Amino acid sequence: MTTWANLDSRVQHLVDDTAQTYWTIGSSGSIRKEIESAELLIALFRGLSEDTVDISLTSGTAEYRILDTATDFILPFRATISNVPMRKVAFSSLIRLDPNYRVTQSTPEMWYSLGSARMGVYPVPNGSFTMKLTYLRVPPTAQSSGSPVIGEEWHDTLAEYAAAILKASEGRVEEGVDLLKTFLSNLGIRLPRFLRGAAQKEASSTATPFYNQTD
Amino acid sequence: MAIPASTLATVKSLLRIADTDRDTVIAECYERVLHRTVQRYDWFKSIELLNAVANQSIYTAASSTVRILGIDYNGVALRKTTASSQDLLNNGWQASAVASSGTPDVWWINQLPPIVDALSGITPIQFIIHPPPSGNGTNAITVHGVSLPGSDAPAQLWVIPFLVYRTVSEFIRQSVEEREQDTAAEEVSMLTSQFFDAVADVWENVIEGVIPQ
Repeated sequence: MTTWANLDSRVQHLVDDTAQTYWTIGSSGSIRKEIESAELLIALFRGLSEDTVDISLTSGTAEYRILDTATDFILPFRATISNVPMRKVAFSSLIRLDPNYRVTQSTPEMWYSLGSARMGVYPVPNGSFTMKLTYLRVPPTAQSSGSPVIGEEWHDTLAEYAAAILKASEGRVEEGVDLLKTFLSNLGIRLPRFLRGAAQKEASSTATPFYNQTD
Repeated sequence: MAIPASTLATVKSLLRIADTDRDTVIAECYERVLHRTVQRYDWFKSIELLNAVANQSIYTAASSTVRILGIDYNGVALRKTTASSQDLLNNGWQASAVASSGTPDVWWINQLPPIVDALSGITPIQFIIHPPPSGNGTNAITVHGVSLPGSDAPAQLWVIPFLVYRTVSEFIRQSVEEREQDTAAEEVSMLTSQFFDAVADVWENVIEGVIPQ
């Protein structure tokens, strides 16, 4: 299993910076930050990082800010009460179904999303319930040991993304583009126009971007 | 608006800037990126509770509100209408709008009846409910809206890389526009800006496909 330390080292070799002249390693290093961004992007696109949390439903309360309970919450996958699955309903459909959606009380049977931080249940709970919510989550960050949560088959791809970002940051844009193209192809994401045409652009790789130049 | 410290550190790391001289400019770039994002997407939905006041039609949402999506009164969703719809359906609606109070049924945000609440203008974070409530009500009005995150990093952790890459691109681009000479360094800078813009585009497309609006 590839560890975080292995990945840091892989990226160092890809960007030719094993001496940490430009980029730092470790749980709070600049290399790790981009590896974690790559993991988040893959988790978002492929739904590869999930968790389950208990949400306490209280009588008379229709809506809940899930981010307060699960700070890594992205979006809900499924919800159950006492092992009975709840149906997902679109908010727009719910308010057409019942304009009194925040008043009608019973055992909740449906859930709906309210943006990226909140969920609601319908009918409004008429007592206390525990809703088990399985959701897409932000993968854990800044870990001093262990491995990424997404599968081993993605780990090389994580290093390619991080190296792409760091190379472009140094002004080695063409090299960054090549690595990013490989990453996006592996993920199955269509290339943005810039990346499709960037190979034709020639730029001096020895020039320092002017915003890094000292006066 | 302040840029969160962790975001500033990441942006500066990618720009390979160590000094603090340009922190203010970076913060301005971040603010522009955040404003454009909030205007374009409903990712930062908010819910605000307001007290209903007897015979009052006009209410004001929090100053961080960018867009009002819906209004509930005592748990019942109000229908959204417009002044033009009212003109078509009910000639002289403005007169009836100042008639007796009751249970609010509709809400809108444009064109006030001229004598309702004696207001001379309306701001984007104000809305009207009609009929005006007949009695006071604590937390009777629920405003569903989209709001700017505060000076802290957005609670939605998944949006931070997108904001970082857009801010990096924005900073480089606005720096290039201030230059007059065409140099190799400038060309590299523009390519770097376009690269980070492309990366941000990838994040934006993925997030758009995943996060419910």
